[in-house]
Amino acid sequence: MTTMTAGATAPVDREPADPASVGLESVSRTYGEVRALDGVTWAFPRGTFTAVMGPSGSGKSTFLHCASGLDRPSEGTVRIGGVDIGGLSETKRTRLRRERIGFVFQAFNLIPSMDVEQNITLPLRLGGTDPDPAWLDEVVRRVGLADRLRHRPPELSGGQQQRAAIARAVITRPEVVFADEPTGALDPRAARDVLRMLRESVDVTGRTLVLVTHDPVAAAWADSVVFLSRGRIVDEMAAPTASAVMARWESL
Amino acid sequence: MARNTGAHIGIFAALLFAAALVGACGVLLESALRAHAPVERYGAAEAVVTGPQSVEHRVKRLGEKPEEQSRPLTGPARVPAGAAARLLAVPGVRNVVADVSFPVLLTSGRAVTGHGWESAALRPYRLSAGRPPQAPDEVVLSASAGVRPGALVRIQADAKPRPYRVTGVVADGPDAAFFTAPTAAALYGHPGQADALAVLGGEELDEDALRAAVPGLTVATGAARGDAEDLSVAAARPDIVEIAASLGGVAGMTAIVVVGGLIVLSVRERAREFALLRAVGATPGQVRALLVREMARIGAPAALAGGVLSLGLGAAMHAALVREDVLPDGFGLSLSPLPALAAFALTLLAAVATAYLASLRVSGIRPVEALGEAAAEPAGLPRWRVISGAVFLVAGLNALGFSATATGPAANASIGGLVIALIVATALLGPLVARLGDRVLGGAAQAVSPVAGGMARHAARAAALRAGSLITPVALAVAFAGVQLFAQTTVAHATRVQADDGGRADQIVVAAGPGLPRGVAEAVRRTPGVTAATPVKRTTVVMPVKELGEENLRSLNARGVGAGAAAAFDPGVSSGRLGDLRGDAVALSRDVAGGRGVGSTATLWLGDGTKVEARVVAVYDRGLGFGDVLLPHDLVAAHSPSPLDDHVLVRGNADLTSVTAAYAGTRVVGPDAFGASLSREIRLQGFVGRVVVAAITAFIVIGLVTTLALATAARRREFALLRLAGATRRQVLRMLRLEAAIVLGTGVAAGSLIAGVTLPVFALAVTGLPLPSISPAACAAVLIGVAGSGAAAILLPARAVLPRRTPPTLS
Repeated sequence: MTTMTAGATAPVDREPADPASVGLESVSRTYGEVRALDGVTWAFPRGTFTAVMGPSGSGKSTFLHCASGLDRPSEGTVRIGGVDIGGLSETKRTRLRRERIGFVFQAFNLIPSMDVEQNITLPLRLGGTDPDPAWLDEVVRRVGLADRLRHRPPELSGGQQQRAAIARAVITRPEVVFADEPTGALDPRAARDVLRMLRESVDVTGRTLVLVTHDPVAAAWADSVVFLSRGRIVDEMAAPTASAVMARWESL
Repeated sequence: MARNTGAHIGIFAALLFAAALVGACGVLLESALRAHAPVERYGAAEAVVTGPQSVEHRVKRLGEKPEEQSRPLTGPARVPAGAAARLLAVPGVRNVVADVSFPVLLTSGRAVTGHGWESAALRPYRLSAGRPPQAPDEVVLSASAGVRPGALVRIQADAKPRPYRVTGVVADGPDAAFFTAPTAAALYGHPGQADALAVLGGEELDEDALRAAVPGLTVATGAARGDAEDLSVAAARPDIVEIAASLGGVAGMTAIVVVGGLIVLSVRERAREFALLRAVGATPGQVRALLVREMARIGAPAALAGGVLSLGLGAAMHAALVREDVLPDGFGLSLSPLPALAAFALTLLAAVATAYLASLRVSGIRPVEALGEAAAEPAGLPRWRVISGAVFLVAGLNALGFSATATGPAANASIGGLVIALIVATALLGPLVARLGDRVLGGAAQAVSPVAGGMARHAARAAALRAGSLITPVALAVAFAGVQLFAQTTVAHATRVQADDGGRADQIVVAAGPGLPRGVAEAVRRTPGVTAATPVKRTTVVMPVKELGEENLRSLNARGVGAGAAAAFDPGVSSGRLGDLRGDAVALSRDVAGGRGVGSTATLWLGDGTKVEARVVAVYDRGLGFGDVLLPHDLVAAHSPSPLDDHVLVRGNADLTSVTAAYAGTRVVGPDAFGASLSREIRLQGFVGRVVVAAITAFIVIGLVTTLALATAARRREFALLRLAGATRRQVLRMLRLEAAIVLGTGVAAGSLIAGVTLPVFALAVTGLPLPSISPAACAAVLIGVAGSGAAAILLPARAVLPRRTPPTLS
């Protein structure tokens, strides 16, 4: 599988020496009086699948927003592919996200007026690139939507919509994919399909995956699980199983 | 992106309408700039020499250099007939005719224009039968008079009717009566002068040589000859230019407010979509570009269609103005693609600019918001909105102060700016107004119905920004309609009241034809039983008037009145004496006196452009009822196009049949039947007012319907949730009704407040009392029309969204 930087825009210089796709250094984020993230330092190594877990209000979403460059931290440094995003303008940050990061959300967040193919290729078109037909075919085949390209999101099941969202997330061959409760709105069977696809994208293409969830079953698909509580990382578990995660979760 | 069709249809309609209105104003403007009276009688003349057709004057400007201002004359400035000799000396000139015109009345009741026989060559008029007049009592008439050569007719000029022998008949051209030159000169009554010198000659006539021969006079050729023939078109031109420009401005401004509101609304509806685009990698610039492109895609066809329609609308407005008799007959319609193109360009530009401004808001949307559950409305108002809203509010209140001290036309002028400033302030501060309205009306709703009222109050409060975009158009409609309609009725009412209050005449002699010969007033005065009688001759004078501390040259309604004036009517003299009105004297209404007191001197220009330094002998209050300027009758008669009087005011119940029998086309009416006729200016304002109200209302309907339809559709889920939570359909509808009452009530209250503050100030300036003339029926129509359409637009879609039988679902 060839790796190429997606988009016609000039890629930001990579630092291959840095083994981490995403690195956080003493990152804090406050909303008014509330300290949602409190001095978090963490690195996601390239080609790994990490689950981030924590109870509601533990700062999971804030963690994801800061790590993915959707939001700027109040203090600390976030590096994506070695680039410090703190000093980038909104437009440059957006370009960086477009090229390096893919997102999968709980609510699918497909654009209802566009068909499946248009939704999948949207990030490319926003970057001013035409989709490579072979790559598009492969992505679409992998998520099993080859016969659904002309459908609009409301005509699809939840699992199909989420698979379209996964295709959209990987179409730019991003370095990191952030998934925010991607199985939260799906039945167990559809959830398993989606998780398998995410797992494959790490194993086959060497992508880095960060999965935010509070489902121990979903977390068990990851290489390691990071536990978040009150804005701090409190524990890490390698080679997780659903029951072990459950047990640790109970103690939080 | 095909979503948001509702908002797009609304925006399309508003832009189309705006382009049509702006273009229509452009058509009027172009017509005014190009309008010349048709060339009827001077068709064969190469050039026509007249006196100056306008008054030029330098007015002082505070701290600036004086400004040259100009007003058109309504009557011809006469030229010395002696200048003909100098024109004859110019090479190529074959003949010069001193053309005179004067109104005459055939005893059959037909009014025609009298000329000397030489003038017949200017058209040329050709005899279809008989021969030219040769004796003083001979005349040639138009065939339409229905007489044949040899017949004896009685013709009344500026005296009792006299018999004339018809020697010939001309077949075509405007109705005319041709006399011998000496007879025409005598009837014209200005020896040694003429209305115009018409030059007959070959093609190769040198225009510059003609100009050099008669310095100080106007030489007209081609289409401009029409203005020398009939000054009414040229006289109406500046007013129409001004009105077309201000109407176009109002239309444009309203369109921007309405379209801006719709764009902001549609952007808010799509906040999630934009946030999503941002999350998947669209830069702020790309989202902005998307919005602007989208607006250009809607705006271009809308502006194009509106531009095309504007030609028809402009023609219709022109026709209506002609029908309302505020445009002179010769004021032709000029149709060219120019106004349509201008309307297209302006509308598109405004739409794109508004979209760009709205898009600046969008780029503030953080991608994180896409991930939030529901798009909550931003809590506070942006600081710039509060600040600029406050600035407009202060500007409005400032204008209010000005209006209170201003009088007459200045008050009229400042009222427009005042209303606009207050409305823009309301638009900017809409959400704050909404909150205030919620506090007052929401409390009332809750008191009336604790459950539904409370829910309605919550909904109205939660959506203060959305409510703001509903309140603004409602307030806009009420304020504009109120001020425009009732300012006009206040003036019209004041005119009538002043004329009634000041009327002292028991009878009035009026003319059916062109006017009353000079002898009528004298004959009335000598009739036994008449205690006083005065002839009244209307004219227009040009005078510098101080408005808001600045001098401006104005055309004012004036009347020439005879010696018995003080007994025949009472203009409400506050200082001086009307009896002193003789020689070079003038009486001014307080609206135009502008600090000139009795004993001071007023510079003014009479109907033919003659400059007079007149002694002010009286200042009076009832300027609307009796005209702004009163002058001695003889002075006006000597400087008007026609010597005839308009009417004679008679004191005493004498029998005047002997007078009406002696003069053709005269009639006696009682004071009730006479009434005060509204000046052309007031009628024009009335017409413009109605057009503005119609235009604004149409904008409001487009804006309201779109906004409400979108808002209600967007709340389908909210209604379903309420139903799931146990609210009955009836309760939800009741909540909506109360919410509509809160929101629309606030809008109506804000609009009424603006009108209620503005109108008394206006009335105070115009009539001296802070009592505007408001017709309850029109008031109710405005309120019911605006609030009713708003309520319908809220409740009808809601009924459709709330299914009656099927259980509620959230999908």
